[in-house]
Amino acid sequence: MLLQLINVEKTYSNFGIETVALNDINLSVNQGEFVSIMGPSGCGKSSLLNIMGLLDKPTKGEVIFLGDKVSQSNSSKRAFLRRNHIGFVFQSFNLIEELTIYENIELPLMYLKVSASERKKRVGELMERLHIAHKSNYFPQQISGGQQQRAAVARALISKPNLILADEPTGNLDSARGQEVMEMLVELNEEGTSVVMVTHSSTAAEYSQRIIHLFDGQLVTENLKRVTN
Amino acid sequence: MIRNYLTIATRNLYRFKLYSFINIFGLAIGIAFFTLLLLLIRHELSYDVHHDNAEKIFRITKFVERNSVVEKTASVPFPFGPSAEKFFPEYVKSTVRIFNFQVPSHAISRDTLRFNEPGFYFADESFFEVFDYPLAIGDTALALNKPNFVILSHKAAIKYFGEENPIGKKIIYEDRYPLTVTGVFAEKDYASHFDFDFIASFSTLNNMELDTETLVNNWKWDPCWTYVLLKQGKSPEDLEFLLNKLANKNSPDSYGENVNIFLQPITEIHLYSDLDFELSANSDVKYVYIFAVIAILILVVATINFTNLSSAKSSYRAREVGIRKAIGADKYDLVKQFLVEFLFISLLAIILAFILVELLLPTISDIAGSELGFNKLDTQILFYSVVISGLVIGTLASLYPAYYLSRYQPSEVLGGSIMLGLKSKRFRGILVIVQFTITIFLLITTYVTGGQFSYFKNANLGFSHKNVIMLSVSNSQARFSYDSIKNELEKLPNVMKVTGVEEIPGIGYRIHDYLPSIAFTGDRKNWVFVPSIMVRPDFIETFDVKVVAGRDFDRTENDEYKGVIVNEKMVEFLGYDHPEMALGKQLRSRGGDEKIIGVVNNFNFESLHHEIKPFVLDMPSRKFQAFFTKYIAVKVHPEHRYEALGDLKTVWSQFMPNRNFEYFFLSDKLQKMYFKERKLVRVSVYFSFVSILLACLGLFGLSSFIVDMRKKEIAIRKAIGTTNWSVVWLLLREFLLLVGLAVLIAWPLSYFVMENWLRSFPYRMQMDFKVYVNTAVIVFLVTVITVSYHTLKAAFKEPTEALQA
Repeated sequence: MLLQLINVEKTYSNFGIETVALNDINLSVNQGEFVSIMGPSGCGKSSLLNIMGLLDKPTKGEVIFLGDKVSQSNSSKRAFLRRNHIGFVFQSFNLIEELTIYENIELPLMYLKVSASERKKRVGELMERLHIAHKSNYFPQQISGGQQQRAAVARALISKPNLILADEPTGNLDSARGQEVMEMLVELNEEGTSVVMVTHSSTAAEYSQRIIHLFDGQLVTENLKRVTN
Repeated sequence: MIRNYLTIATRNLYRFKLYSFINIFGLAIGIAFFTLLLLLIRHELSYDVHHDNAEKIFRITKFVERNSVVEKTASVPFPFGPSAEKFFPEYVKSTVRIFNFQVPSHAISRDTLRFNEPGFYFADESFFEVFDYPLAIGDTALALNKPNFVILSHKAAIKYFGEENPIGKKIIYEDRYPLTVTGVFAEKDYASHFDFDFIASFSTLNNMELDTETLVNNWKWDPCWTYVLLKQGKSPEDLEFLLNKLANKNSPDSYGENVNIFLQPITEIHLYSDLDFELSANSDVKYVYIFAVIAILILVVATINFTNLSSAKSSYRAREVGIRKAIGADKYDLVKQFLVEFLFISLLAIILAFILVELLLPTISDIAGSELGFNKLDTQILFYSVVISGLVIGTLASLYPAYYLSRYQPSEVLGGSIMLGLKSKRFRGILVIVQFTITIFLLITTYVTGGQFSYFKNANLGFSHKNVIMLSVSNSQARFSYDSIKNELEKLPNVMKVTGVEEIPGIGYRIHDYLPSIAFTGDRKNWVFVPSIMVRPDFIETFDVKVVAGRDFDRTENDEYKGVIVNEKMVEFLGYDHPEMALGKQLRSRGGDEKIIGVVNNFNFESLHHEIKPFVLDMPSRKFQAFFTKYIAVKVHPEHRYEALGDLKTVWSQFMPNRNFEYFFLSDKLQKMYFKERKLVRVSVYFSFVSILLACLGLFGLSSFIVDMRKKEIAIRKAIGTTNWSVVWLLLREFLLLVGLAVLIAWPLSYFVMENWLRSFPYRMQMDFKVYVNTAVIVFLVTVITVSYHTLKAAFKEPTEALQA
């Protein structure tokens, strides 16, 4: 098992008012699985994704990642796990504006202290594969949304993570570009990378093997969709 | 990775051009001015440290105290040095005497060149055993070993000999004594309390028709600045004790036991010594501390700018931090990244600071009245100071924003749930308050020091110094023809009155001993020390001193022998209730029995740094008239000062054809006494301007960020009908509140500091509340002007764009 959430709860406190974002979530993701999380706005999807991506700690409950209990690990440990095992794809792409496409994709490898020659080789190959090699020296704002999202996917992939967490990856794209990105995620998934995707779009969710519905911070249904090879 | 950091730093600098400019320029100004002050401080601390034996060289000084009047002289009698060497050989390695007849200048000529030289001194052959003033040409062992030898400064050599080699050539001293040049000092690259242009061999004095025997044995007159070089391991306190005994034994009986000898370390003279007959006007360690405080304040203001702008701008970097964290950067990676980035900015500021220092060095040297940055050591200090202060400010100023940035939670910044930039608002507010408190403090300092300086310049001294021209005749034959000169001068149309004086009124005096009648018992111990000046007739009219009782000196009354005039303080000191009672009372002097013939008002006979003390005006007996006539004071017509000057010159040439005309306006000379205050005023004007400039730069940058952060709020307010001016007020209010708080903190602080400073002067300006109000108004105005650019722009912008964002 890649990731397991046991009785996870998340509450936010603001000016003394407590808001429950997640309530008693039990969920596991296996290696090679493609899971979609759906639900209305404010149901806790992003909070769930943040906890699964070790960007946030649960208020209660346990998160087990690659067999380790990590829910209360310190920030360095969680950064280490993210660096080595998790890739993120965001709705708004979240590329660093001051870095070129090449430099954005290269960045995770720098934190992994990969040598310059190795970085050059891996980034080059990946960009070729995702058809953005010709945009290598462009800045994010100089290329189209689809290309930006492909660059974001490339950045998520470059460190060969076990898990890709995608937050509305098609939200800012037209249907054709959205489809391209979804096909790309499926392809990666088929190569063995686990994908957890938060989405509003049932079309996008159709690409996954399992759909989890979230409502008011609670897991309500789980549907099995696609069968892996 | 560093390359990645630098890449992103450069691109960010380019993207936020205004911010980058303000940050780099502000930091550079801070570093540059800090460095300039450091150079100034180092210069002040470097006096006389260049001597190899600096720690073992001491100047012998003499204090004589009686009835709370202390005569403190930087010089001692002729025999003091040689006796110290002779009697205490186990302590004294060597001594050297410096002598100049205690006159303001000496006539030096060569062919047609002729100048009055203030920097001429005679010195013992041991000059180079004690001091290390390097020679460019000549042999230190031979240059002063015979009579009529002289060494020239580099400057004097050029002045008299141009490109010629002066060695072996002659200059003429006082038109009579040829001196052979035996050496030239190297160009000056050190700072010393002793500034000279000519050092002649002491033995030259034997060839002059002086009463050398009387000089050699005279323990009363103190004309020699005398320095001892202590033997290794010997304590100055022990020698001081022995020298005290020597002085007590040899000084005249009347005050022998009142004499105290102090050994003054040569390196402390410039900053700690304020005695009579100093070789040159010294500075004061108090000002070094003040400069150090200003330097630190400037550094704080610059650091705050950097911190404030960087933390405000950090909100623009929050998303990047979130992304970097999501892809695996930990807190330390981010702190490292931002430190590298801020240090990079510091580096750019350092480069700019070098340029600024280069450009500003001459101005600051001029303001400080000291040549800064002239030697290798200063260049080194300059380099290290710029680099180190740059890196220190860079690091200090980066710590908070780096820490602050690295704490952003990716889940918050990527999800958009955080109010960007508002988190550090309170901290930034505190920094702005600190910055403005410093600025207001410096402004008030400028106001008060300026006020005190102008008080000194314009104070009523109780005598008239305007339109008085002083002719220096101390070292010339003219004083023997004083009466004829006076006659000739009084014939001139623009001359109103003429007198002769021993010291410059308002600046100097001598201490003489008197025996008042009420205490007259014949016992010498009842002699009292009283500051006094020997004057020639017409002193009172020349200087418009007010006679409150009795009369002026009268030639026909034999006042040279029988009459003295005292001030009101002296009347009090003698125990009389009012001036009339003192008239006719005996006041015995060394010259004989004298009586008080007049009482004058309490005028400031020395600088306003000192309270008025009892004082005596005395006329020298005929025998000593010439000796006591060092200056001729001429009161001229106020509207024809310069015509009068021309006429004086003609009369001067008539009586002293071989001597250059030497004069000064008394008012100018009096003002020069306040050179330390003048320096402080100039430094504080400059630095408070820098502080305002820095604070404004910071505020300008900060206002741009704050307006940007609140643009959505402004748009919403406008959408629901708020007027443009209400929006302006909304934004302005925040800054004015901060500045207002700074004013409230700075006022009592400045009052406390400045009131203490003023209290060190017996005569001082009145602190006016207006000073505080004015500074506050200036600061508020500057604030409004600075922040209005961005606030007006934001307030008058259509809200649609911001609402859509």
